[in-house]
Amino acid sequence: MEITFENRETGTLVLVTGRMDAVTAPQFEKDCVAVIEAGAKLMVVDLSQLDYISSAGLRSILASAKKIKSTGGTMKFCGLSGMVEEVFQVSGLGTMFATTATADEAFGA
Amino acid sequence: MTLSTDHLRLSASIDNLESAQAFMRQQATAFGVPEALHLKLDLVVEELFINIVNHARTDDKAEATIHCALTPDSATARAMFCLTFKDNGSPFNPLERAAPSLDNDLDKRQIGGLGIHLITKMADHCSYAYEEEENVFTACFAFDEKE
Repeated sequence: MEITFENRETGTLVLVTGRMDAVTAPQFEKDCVAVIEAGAKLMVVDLSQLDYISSAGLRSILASAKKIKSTGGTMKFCGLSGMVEEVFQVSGLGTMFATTATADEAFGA
Repeated sequence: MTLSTDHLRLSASIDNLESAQAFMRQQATAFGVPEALHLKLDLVVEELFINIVNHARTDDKAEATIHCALTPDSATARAMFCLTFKDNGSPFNPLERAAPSLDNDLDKRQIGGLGIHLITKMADHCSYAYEEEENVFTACFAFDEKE
């Protein structure tokens, strides 16, 4: 799994690639918390290049989303497809979070 | 007829997750399980294996065994690829665990408890037994065999 953070005019784009599993997921939470503590108020997580996610990944996402919400911020998701989209839907995250097809839509909305 | 091959025995450590998934994939490929199912199978292997790691005995004898089999589903004439995990941890039936709340409110949402939920949603059939001092969990996936 690789994570890159990119500053946009209205927030931070988080691009996650590869596999978010029990081994790699804690890194996502750690990196997101650091960015949130640095003051990020809108994070858009682009999952279009994420091939695989497990409950450990969902746990890291939920913990990070709770963290940003506690500071008055928001986490949104874009680019869900395939297995990742299915896991989001059956776990209810697909309806709990704002999801868009592209990052631009998420920043514009 | 049930086709069956080797099993893989691993110490119950997160470091062995990749080996567990690699073994399952090799078996699934050999049994002709369509590629489209492989990521779901990866997920179920991870959830079951990590569950075993989390509930494992604390000495150095904590082990898990993975076994794969292909069984015809007589009711539907489809093939069933079944993954069986055995472990020597304390008796624990994940299927008896209360279903997690899928609350839409982020503040009320628990961050854990989704693993078993994902297993039961992804697999077509799950069963649990405690036999010969081992937890035995089987998850089966139906698929259409190529002509």
